[in-house]
Amino acid sequence: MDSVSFVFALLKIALILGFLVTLTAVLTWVERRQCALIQDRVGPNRAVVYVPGLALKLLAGGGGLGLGAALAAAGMALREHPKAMVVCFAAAAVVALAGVVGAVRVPSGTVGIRLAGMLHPVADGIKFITKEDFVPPNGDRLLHALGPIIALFPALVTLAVVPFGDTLAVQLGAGGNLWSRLAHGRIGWADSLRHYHAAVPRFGMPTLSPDLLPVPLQIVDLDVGILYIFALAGTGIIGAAVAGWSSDNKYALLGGLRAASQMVSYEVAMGLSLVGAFMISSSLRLDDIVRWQSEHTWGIFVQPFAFVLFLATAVAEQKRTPFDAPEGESEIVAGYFLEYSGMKFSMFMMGEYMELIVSSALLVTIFLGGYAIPFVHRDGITLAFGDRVLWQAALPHVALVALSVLVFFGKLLAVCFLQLFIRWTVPRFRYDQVMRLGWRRLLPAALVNMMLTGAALIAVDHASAGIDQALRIAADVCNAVVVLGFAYGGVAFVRFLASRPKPQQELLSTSAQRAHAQGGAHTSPMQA
Amino acid sequence: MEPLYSELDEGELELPSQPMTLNVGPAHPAMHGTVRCVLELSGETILKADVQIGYLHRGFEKMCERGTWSQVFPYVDRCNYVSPMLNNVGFALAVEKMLGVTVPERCQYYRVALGELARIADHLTCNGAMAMELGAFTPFLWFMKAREMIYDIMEEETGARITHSFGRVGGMAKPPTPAFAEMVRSAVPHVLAILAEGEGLLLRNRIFIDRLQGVGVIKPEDAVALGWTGPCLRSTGVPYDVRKAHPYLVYDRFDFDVPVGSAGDNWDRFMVRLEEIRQSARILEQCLAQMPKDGPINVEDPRIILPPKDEVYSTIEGTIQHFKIVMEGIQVPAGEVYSYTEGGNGELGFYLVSDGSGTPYRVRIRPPCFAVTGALQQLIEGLMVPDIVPTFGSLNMIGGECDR
Repeated sequence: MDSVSFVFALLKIALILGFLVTLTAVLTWVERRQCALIQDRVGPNRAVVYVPGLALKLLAGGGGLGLGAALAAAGMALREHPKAMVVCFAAAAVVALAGVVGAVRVPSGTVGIRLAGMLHPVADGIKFITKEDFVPPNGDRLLHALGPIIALFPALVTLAVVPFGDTLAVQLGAGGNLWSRLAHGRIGWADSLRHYHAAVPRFGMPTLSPDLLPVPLQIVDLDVGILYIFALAGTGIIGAAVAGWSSDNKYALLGGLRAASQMVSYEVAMGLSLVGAFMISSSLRLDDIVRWQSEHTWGIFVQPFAFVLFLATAVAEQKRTPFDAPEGESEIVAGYFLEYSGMKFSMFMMGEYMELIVSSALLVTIFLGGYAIPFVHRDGITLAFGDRVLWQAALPHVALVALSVLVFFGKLLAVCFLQLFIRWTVPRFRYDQVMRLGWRRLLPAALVNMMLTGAALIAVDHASAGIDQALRIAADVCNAVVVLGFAYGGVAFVRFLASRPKPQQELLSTSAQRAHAQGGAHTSPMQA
Repeated sequence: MEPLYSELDEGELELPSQPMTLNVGPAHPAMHGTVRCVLELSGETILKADVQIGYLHRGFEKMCERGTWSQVFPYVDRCNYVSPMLNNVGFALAVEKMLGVTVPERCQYYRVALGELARIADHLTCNGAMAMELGAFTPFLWFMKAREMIYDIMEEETGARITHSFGRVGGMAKPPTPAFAEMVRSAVPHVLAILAEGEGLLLRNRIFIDRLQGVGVIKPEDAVALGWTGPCLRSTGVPYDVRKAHPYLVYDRFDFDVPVGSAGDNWDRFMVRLEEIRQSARILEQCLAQMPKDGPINVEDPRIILPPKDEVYSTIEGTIQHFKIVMEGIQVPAGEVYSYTEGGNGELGFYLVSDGSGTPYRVRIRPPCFAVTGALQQLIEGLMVPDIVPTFGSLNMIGGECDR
């Protein structure tokens, strides 16, 4: 490995880890917000930082004016380009005005900053770090400490093989070693589009040429791909089992046993549910699976059954509701992490959220097109049904890569939110029902799915050209459905944001009316 | 080649094992009301259960023997902290039976209305908590929201949200507020709408159905033999409701149904309570329509009812009357009485003995929960550990009432 790819690998690791840890904190907040939304509660609003209003006024006013001044100076410097100068001056005026208005509108006195409850994860972090780290006196100290580490580790490292963007192709400049060639390289702005499309084909890997450096946006590109994820995720079982065993508590032991048996059972169905997807793309590498979907259509359209199976088994693997029998708080109190407190407990929770992110990433990669966007390829947008091209537009390579990264993370976030929603709407299974569902329903279903996929693949291989063409058109129709669905969803979302809900207030009692007349809400224990 | 261990039986190859003893409670999230279950487990299956009650025993019945008859009300409030109004009314009716007085009609309707509100609150709490303990948190909070509406009415009427101590021998502490009927009429549709919303999440949910149906089954004969009453008994198909079988207050004037189950499992107990909320809403509607707009709320008897405050301060008769009732208590004729009403969980009985003084000689409360909890052991034996949660939840055991 040369130094360039080493540095790139470090950068990618930093990006993914930073994203993972940040998203974990954000998801805890999202979960609280969502459940408050569903359950008609206020939700997180208690973590608050009090700041003197004067400081905020100074910050807003000073920041706005300072930024405005900087923009104005930039505008002066760009005197040769009148358009850019005008833009800079306009931006300077807007920013300065916004700063002044903000400074005026900040109330005097101390101001509580809540950020809609975003400070709760921070408060959680402080609490977890400063809390007593209790180890049961008769527990196994070593294993007790090892449990959360084993549980967290696989969740941290599994994202390594998931591609989070299209391969970035850097055109190397002339001269010297790789670093100096890279320094003189270019990454495909509009002027060199045509040259780029020759080197970077629409589909498949970029052609290897001495003056082109492909940077795959994936930490490692393993041939075993998804098997690596399954192998590592399997070790998470040991964490739960060890934690339950070492806690010297019968509830924890029951929880550890439940966790171990549940995860082992669902691992099988989970692996088999994906086999169909491998057969179709004939590769285990996640990058190939995404490329197949980019060329044809999203995996959810060719493997809809597997999507449902994988979603169900993934929720079971994360031990989240309705599969949270291992931690069933009303029967075995907290299950395998009953005797954990402080940061060790937090590691279990973080591991759970990270597993959620990982499984969402897998769902996105295998079933929802990964970083691919329908009708968008390496050479830009091609709106086509089969061979009939309706509209075509070229886009710069770097913009496409940036778009693919954004799309991947956007899809990931959406699937994470969707998975969080499940928790607040269903009760939990009993332990034997979990086992029955896993072995008697999901596993045979996965096997059937595998066989049906195989039969369909053979049929397609021997199909006539007409059917082949029809399938291609069907794939493009699916892509069009996705695009239309997203357009509709986007419009609906914007309309949702723009709408102002009218709060329903039922003032029943005089005490409520009195509180309302004084400008306050009728305080009740439910609002705590 | 000979197979290994050919001389061993298959049974000998198994590792020696013995049941695990698991102590559930008294401090355990599912054991609300501090009950202790000592379980012998084989894996997750309960081989033997030993249910122990009494952790919430506070000697209420004994405490009742040292104050006046009126001072018993706070104790019966705290017996059932989920539907205290029903206990208030039950005790008041028992003392009135001894005294041989009947409260005015308006008060009877008022008691029915407050009692049915309390019953709705009780069933909402029980069913919501049951769903929550099964992991369905959202319906629970929705039901609590509905309960808050009822508590708002209670607060407005009585000044307290939970322990009202609102009943009085021979009447109620206060007449209904002018807005009472309006508040109830505006709140009940909201409560029913929230109920329907919660049902939408639960009743067609396969997981929820599988967790409840066929779990914790009891035969009607066994339930009767154990002394079960209330929704738990009705879930087995026995249509015994004190309000229908032995109508008290004005219950015979209302048109309502007694919902019964058929299997006697957790699902039936859940469904019976849901339906009873609807029936209570029906009763409330008729009750508000029939309730006299004005009229006395208390009996016209100066030996029983405290005089108005201005009379206490301005007339000697009022002062003496007030002093006698407060210091000596209401003089209840010697004798004994058993009076029973339909509480939140079933037949709530008060067996009172009076020696003719202003202090009860004996107050014995017949809590419906005691008989119901007695069956917990036979209900959960043979089930799995997670089944304790819905089974115990559906019995709606209230520690304060069971242990007293």
